[in-house]
Amino acid sequence: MSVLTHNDAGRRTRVRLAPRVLPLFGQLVIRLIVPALLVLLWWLGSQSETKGLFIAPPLDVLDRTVSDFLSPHPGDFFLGEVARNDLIPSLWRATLGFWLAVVIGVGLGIVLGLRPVLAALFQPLVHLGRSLPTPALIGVFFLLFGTGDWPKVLLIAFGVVWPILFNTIDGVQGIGMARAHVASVFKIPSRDVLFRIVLPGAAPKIFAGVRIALSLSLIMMVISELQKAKNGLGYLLVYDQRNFDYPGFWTVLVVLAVVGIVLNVIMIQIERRVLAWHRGVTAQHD
Amino acid sequence: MKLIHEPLSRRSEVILGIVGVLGTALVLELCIRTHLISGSGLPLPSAVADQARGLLGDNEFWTQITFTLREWMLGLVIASVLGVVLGGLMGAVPLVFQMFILPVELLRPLPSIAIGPLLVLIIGAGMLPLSLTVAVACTWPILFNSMYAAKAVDPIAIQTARTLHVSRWGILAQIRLPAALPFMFTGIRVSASIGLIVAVSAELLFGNGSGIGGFILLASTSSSNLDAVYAATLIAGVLGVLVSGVFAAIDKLAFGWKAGLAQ
Repeated sequence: MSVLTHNDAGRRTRVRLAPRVLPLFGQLVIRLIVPALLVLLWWLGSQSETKGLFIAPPLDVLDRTVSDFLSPHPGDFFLGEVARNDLIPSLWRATLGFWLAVVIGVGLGIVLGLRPVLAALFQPLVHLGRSLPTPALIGVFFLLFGTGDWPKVLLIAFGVVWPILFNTIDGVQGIGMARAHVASVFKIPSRDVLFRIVLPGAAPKIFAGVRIALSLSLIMMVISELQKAKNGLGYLLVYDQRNFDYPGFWTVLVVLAVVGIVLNVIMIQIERRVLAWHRGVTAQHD
Repeated sequence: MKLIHEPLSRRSEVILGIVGVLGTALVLELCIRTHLISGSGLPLPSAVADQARGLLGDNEFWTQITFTLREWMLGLVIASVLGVVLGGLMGAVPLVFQMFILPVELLRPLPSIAIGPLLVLIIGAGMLPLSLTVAVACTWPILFNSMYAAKAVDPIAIQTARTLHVSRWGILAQIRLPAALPFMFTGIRVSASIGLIVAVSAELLFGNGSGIGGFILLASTSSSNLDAVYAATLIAGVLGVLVSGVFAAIDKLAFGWKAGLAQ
């Protein structure tokens, strides 16, 4: 019996090995065709006579990205000069604004979601806030909050708070009658209701809002630095463009994409941990 | 903590909403007038409302509004075509999905606003680079919704059709498309709201002075004219609310039947 299974297993691996490696290779090729074409297009664009001035060749951009944002010195945490002077302050402000928005959005959202009268009172304002073009208020924020980091942080927070707020209200209101009845029948204390029923129940919706807010905060970060800034990726975009330093400009774009991807991966991991119970559970009952 | 509430009637909801808007404006007005909050540049609701009324009576400003709307519409159409076609193909054909998922995931986090200045340099100033910026921002929700929509089509329905010898095109036209359409439209609806915000922001950041954003840009250069900035921003926001209302109405009208189909 054991010999048989052994043989069986051996044959299976032998048979499967070749078709398995080949598709893997084929898969890789298939996955890389379009990116390769895009890079080729990018390179062709950089070689064009008229537009080539604005389009930096891919290799130059890669070179610049490495030299600007990476460093061989462990003392600098392997971060290049530009990374330390612009990327870190940018990310710091974005993080601050983002967390400010999360705290305010979730807190206010729970309060509004639990009280239908309050929700109805402020619903039009929330809809309006969601539709406001926040960048239009950048000048106003500088006037109201002075220069420095704070107007930028507050602008980011103001720009990204709406999806969190909106989704939290929606999530809290959609907790479902069954759970609400259980809470009231068993006279569960308020604290437990908040932390064991309301917050977990609204969490999937809250996370949906937070994810939108995260990608939005990257955009708001760039926008907040286009004026009256001394550092930051947005500042760098403007600065490079003014000095006709197009490789530098493209480098910033590449770094922005990388930052966006990293943030997204982090977010997905957090969501998986926090909402692990959600898959299957709420799908059946709500 | 009470979780059970009597649902509010539609009428009391509307009344409460109006009270909320007016009340907030009133509180803000009083706070500023009594110098409870002080500082230059605060929005005095009555002054902002006055400005907004003035702007809405101004033909010049209406040409800016139509410019923004045309730019937004062009961007949304480009994004819809691109998103529905590519997203639909990615959802329906695994090979296309494998080919495009990597570039899509790499390009998606790029802030469209950052690409805009580059588009202006390459294409030249005008409406097109602004519309393309809008399109870049709007493509992703449409693409992903279309992808999931095409993927989630009921396989039993397709197999049934195959058994009944419905042709490939027949399946596409009679099963795949009708089943996917409502969710594709949800993507377009989401994008429509985002697109308007991006449109105004793009005009503001690298436009040539046209559109609502262009107006705000000119108004912000003089700090004495902040009420105009607030008023124009407010109008843009109200426009956004209207647009999302219109799209919600279309959604309800055209795809009201999808409620029973929700995944």
